[in-house]
Amino acid sequence: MSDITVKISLFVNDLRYTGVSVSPSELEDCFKSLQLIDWTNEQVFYSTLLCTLLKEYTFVDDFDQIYKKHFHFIFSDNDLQSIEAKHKKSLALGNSFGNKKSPNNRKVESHDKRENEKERITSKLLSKRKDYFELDFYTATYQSALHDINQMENLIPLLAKRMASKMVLKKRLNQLGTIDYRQTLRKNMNTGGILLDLYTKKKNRERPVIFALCDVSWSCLHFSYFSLSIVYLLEKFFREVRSFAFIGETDEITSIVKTASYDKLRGKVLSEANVSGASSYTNYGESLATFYDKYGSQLNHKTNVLIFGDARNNWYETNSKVLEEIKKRVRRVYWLNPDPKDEWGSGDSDILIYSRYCSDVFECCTLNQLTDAILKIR
Amino acid sequence: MNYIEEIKSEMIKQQYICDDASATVLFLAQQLKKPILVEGPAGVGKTTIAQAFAQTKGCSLIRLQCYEGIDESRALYEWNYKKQLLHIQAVANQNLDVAEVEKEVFTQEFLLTRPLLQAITTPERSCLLIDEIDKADFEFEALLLELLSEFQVTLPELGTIKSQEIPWVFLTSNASRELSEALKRRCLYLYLDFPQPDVEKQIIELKVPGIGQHLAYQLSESLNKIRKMNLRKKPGIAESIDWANALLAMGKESLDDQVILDTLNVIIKYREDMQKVTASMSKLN
Repeated sequence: MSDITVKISLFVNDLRYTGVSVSPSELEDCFKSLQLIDWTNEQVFYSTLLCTLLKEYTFVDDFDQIYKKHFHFIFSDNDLQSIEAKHKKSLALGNSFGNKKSPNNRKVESHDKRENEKERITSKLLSKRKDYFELDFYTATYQSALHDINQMENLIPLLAKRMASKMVLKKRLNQLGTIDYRQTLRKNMNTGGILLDLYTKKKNRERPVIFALCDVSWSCLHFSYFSLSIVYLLEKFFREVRSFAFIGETDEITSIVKTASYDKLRGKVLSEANVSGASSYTNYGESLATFYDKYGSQLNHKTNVLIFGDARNNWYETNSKVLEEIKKRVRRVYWLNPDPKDEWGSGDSDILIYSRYCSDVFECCTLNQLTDAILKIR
Repeated sequence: MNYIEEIKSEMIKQQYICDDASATVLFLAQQLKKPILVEGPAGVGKTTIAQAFAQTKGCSLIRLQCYEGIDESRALYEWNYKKQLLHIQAVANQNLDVAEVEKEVFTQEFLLTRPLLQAITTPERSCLLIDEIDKADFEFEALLLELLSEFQVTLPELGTIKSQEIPWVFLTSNASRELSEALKRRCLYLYLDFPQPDVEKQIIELKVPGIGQHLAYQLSESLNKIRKMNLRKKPGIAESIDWANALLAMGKESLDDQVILDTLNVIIKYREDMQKVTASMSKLN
C-alpha cells in the first residue's frame, strides 16, 4: 500500500470511531477523486475528502478535528482557519452531549478530568471539607457546557421537525388496520354490491400520560439541558406531560416548562423549584422517595414514567424499593441514561440496580439515540 | 488549478458565485458521474446552483419538486388510461387478437413520462433537479436508488430503460429528516451555508448591477448580524437580493435605522422575528 492509502485508511478509521459511517464504496469514490484533483490546494483536498466521505453536516466539527490531526500539518499555508470559520455555524446533531467518550475531542479531556474530579469530590464530601479546587472544576464544566448549549439551541427546532416526520410515518403505518366489513358493504351499496372501495377500521390509539423526571445536578449538567429541552418538546407530542426535576429531592416543574423558553429553562428550574434537597448532591434514592410521597397517588395504569439521569448516586442509598412501588402502579417506567453502556455500574452508578425495576433502559449519548428512545416509548 | 478556476468562471457567467468547495464538488461529480446532494438552510442557493450549472452545460433542467405523498405515477411514469381505453374501443370491432391489443396499449405511445423518466430518455444530456427530497416519503427514496446508481429505470410492462446520456443530477434537502444511508452513499455531498459578508457583497453586486459599493457593503454586514440573531427564519440570499433591489428602487444610497425599519418586511417574514430585529436595531449599523 502506498503512503497516502495508509493515511486515508487511518483517517477513515478515526472517522468511523466517532460514529460517521463510511462505506467501502464511499472510500472508493474518495480514492478515485484524489486521483483527479490537484493536491497543492488544501481547500480542494479538504472538500474532496468532505464531499466523498461525510454525508451528514452535523458531523462536520468532528470531521474538521480529525482532518486537522491527520492532514493539516502537511499543508504549509494554513488556510484551515477559513474553513473552520465557515463551518462554525454548522450544527452538531450527532455529536455526543452525554458523557460519551469521543476521540480528538476536548470532551475526552473534560470527561477524564471530570471522572477524576468526581472521585476527588466524593472523597472530600466524605471528609466534609471544601476548597477552591471544587469551584474551579465547576467553572470549567460550566464553560464547556455553555459551548454545547449554544450549539444545542439551533438543534431543538430541527429535532422537533424530525420527530414530527417520524411520527407521521408511524401513524400512517398504524392506520393500516383490518377491514371493516360492515362499512365496506354499506358504502359499496351504490355500486350494486360490487366492492370497489375497501374501508378499514381506524385504530384508536391511547395517548399515554407522561411523568418525566429530570436530573438537573452538575454531574448531569450537559444532559440536563437536553433532557429539559426534550421534556419541552414532549409537550407537543403527548396528551399530557407533567415534568419534575430533582437533585436531592423532587419538585414539579410543569408550569415552568409551559411558560419558560427552553434556553432559560434550566436556570428557572434551579431558582424556582425546590430541588436541591439537604446536601445539594444528587440523591436518587431520596428524590424517588419524595416523588412517590408527593405524587404517588396520582400515578395510575395510564401513566408512563420517564427518568432522565445517569443514576450516579454519590454512594447514597438506592431506595430501589420505591421504584419498585412506582413500577407496580404505572404502565411503564423508562430510564434514559446519558452514560455510555460500558460504564453502567462502574463507580457510583446504580443504574444496574434500578434497571431491574424499569421496563426499559436506554443509552442516550447522542441526540439520535435520544430521539430513537422517545419514539420507542410512544 | 485550472479546472476548478474554469468551473468558477463559468458559473460566474451564469451569475452564480462559487467557492472552491462547491467548484470541487461540481468537478468531481462530472468526473465520477455521481449525483450531488446539496444540503443547507433555506435560501442559500441550493436550487440556484443546479440551475446555473445546467446553464453552463447548455442543457435543459428537468425539475421534480418533492412533497409528502409523491409517488411513482407523479415522479416516474404513468400509463395514459384514457388513451388506452379509447384505443381499445376504437379497435373493438376489428376482430383483433386480444394478446396483440394488450401488447399495443402497453407501448411507449401510451406512456406518460414524468420528470425522472424524462431525464433519462431525452436524447441530449439533461440536468435533473430533485428538489427538497426530505419532503418526500421514505419509500420514495428507495424508488430513486436504481435511478441514481445505474441511471436506468425498470418498468414492469416495458422492461429496463437505460439512459442514453447520463444526466447531471442534483438533490436538495433542508434536513427536515435524515435521508437513508443508501441514498447518501450514492451521492457526493455539498453543504451550503450562509455566505461570508464579503462573498455576499459580491453576490449582491453581481445580481443587482446598479447598486453602489458602499450600500452593498452595508447590506452584507447588516445581514450577517441579523443572521446571528436567534430568529425563526433567517433571511436567505434570495431575500438579500430582494432587499438590495428594494433599496435601489427607492433610490437609497446608504443604510440607516429608519431605512432598515421601513424595508425590514422584505427580509423578515415573521412578526416575532421583526420584533427581535427592531429591538436590537442600534447594533445593526
